[in-house]
Amino acid sequence: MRTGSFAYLLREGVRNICQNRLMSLATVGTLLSCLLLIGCSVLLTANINALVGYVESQNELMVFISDDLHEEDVAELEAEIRAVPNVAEATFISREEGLKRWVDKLNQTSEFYAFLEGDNPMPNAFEVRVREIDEMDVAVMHLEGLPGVDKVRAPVEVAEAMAGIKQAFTVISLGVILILAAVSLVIVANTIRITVFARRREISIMRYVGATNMFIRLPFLLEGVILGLLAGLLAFLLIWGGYSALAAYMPAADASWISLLAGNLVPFSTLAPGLLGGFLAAGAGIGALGSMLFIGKHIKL
Amino acid sequence: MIEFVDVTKTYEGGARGLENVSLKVDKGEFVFVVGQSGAGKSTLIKLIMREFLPTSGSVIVAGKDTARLKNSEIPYFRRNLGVVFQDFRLIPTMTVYENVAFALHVTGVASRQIKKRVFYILELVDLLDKAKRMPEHLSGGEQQRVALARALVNNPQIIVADEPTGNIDPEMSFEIVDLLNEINKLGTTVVMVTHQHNLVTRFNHRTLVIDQGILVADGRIGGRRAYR
Repeated sequence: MRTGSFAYLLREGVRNICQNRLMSLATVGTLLSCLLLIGCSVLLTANINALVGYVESQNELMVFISDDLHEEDVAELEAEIRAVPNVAEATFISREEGLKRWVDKLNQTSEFYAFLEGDNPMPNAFEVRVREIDEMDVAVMHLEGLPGVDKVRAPVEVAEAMAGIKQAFTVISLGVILILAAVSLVIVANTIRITVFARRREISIMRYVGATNMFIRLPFLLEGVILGLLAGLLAFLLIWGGYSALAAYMPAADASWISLLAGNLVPFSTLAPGLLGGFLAAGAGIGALGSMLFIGKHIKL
Repeated sequence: MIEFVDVTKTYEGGARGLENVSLKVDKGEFVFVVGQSGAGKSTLIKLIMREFLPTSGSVIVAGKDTARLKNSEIPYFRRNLGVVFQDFRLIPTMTVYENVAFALHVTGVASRQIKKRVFYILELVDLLDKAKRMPEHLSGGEQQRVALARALVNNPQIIVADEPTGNIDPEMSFEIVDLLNEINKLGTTVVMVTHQHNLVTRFNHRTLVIDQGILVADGRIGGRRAYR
């Protein structure tokens, strides 16, 4: 197709939008709302995942080992522990170190430490970090099976809860996105149907003078894409503003859990390119698909 | 230029459009099609336009059997035809110039050529001075001339006019047919459907008479030969 023709078709698409100003506005508004909800859901999921990731990275399990092991045996065991799948890190914690930590945790005085030092009840241990929290139980099983290992203490419930939260948010946000995408499609399709109806006379003339099918349909396709892109761009700008405001407000809040969340808020700059690209692609895609949905039924050769 | 070979068209539900119609219109001919409402005149036009296919028989227009056209070929096929309707079918939001140029824009003609051709055609139908008017400010006859200009601007081989004088006063009707005569003299084949007998008798062209879907007569008024 020649560029002159494309420019003509683009003008027609814009003319469609201007002639149906109110309907176009309503469409952009609805699309915008859908994209905003989708964006919020994406941002929430991204932050939940980041938070879970943070908690995951903090997650440690303790592998207590038998007192009978010699130094060489301990070194060998360390290598074996590191070889267990999903284990990211293993640090040897001696009995003394273990006791010190325990006393510190209990907030006791050094007299208490001195009192226990003679008869240290703590075994030697390894502090182990896993990579994937949802597969922690498998790692625990492996570790428990190693010779020389007495006991493994692991926050498996926390791990399972975290994995559950992550999964739930992913599923919910996916559901939200799918439903809203379907709604958006129908909205765009309906707008285009109204435009087609308003221009049915022109369409019939186009058919009689021998305009190709593509030439007849393209302005409607472009109309859908333009509306979609517009909604996508607006959604990005609004999300940007909203998220920045949230990030600015949250550290100032009194509640400590909010500050904790705020400290871990994923910076917008890391999400921005994906979000903008996603919004524009989703807008254009929904616009194009929506306009093509019923158009075949309304524009017959 | 147009050939119907034993064409029958039956609509869904059994209504009859045309029955066993055979006819041939040569290049450069001017043919009237007459008949009462519902006789099958519009069916004939729509078959020429390839709006639908005959139930049986074949329709050959500008050398193409319409049944053998692929969907993608139909638009290009239609560029051989210029159509004029009883209700003009102008776009009310466009000026006279834009209405005519529209036919060129949507067939992908370059802008420079569009201007030249539209002005040439508007001069032919004597509407150059009204190029910037909106259709609603024109008389019925003028509106039909705009429609005719739009049909002509793509330089079609055949003009198909479906009751082009049905909505305009008798004086103007003669003007429109005069114009069609002029176009015909330039080599364009013209098929004009009408139910105004005064036009048929005044302009001594070949006339096809259709009654209840059957071609009952074909010839010039006065000297036409009857089929039955």
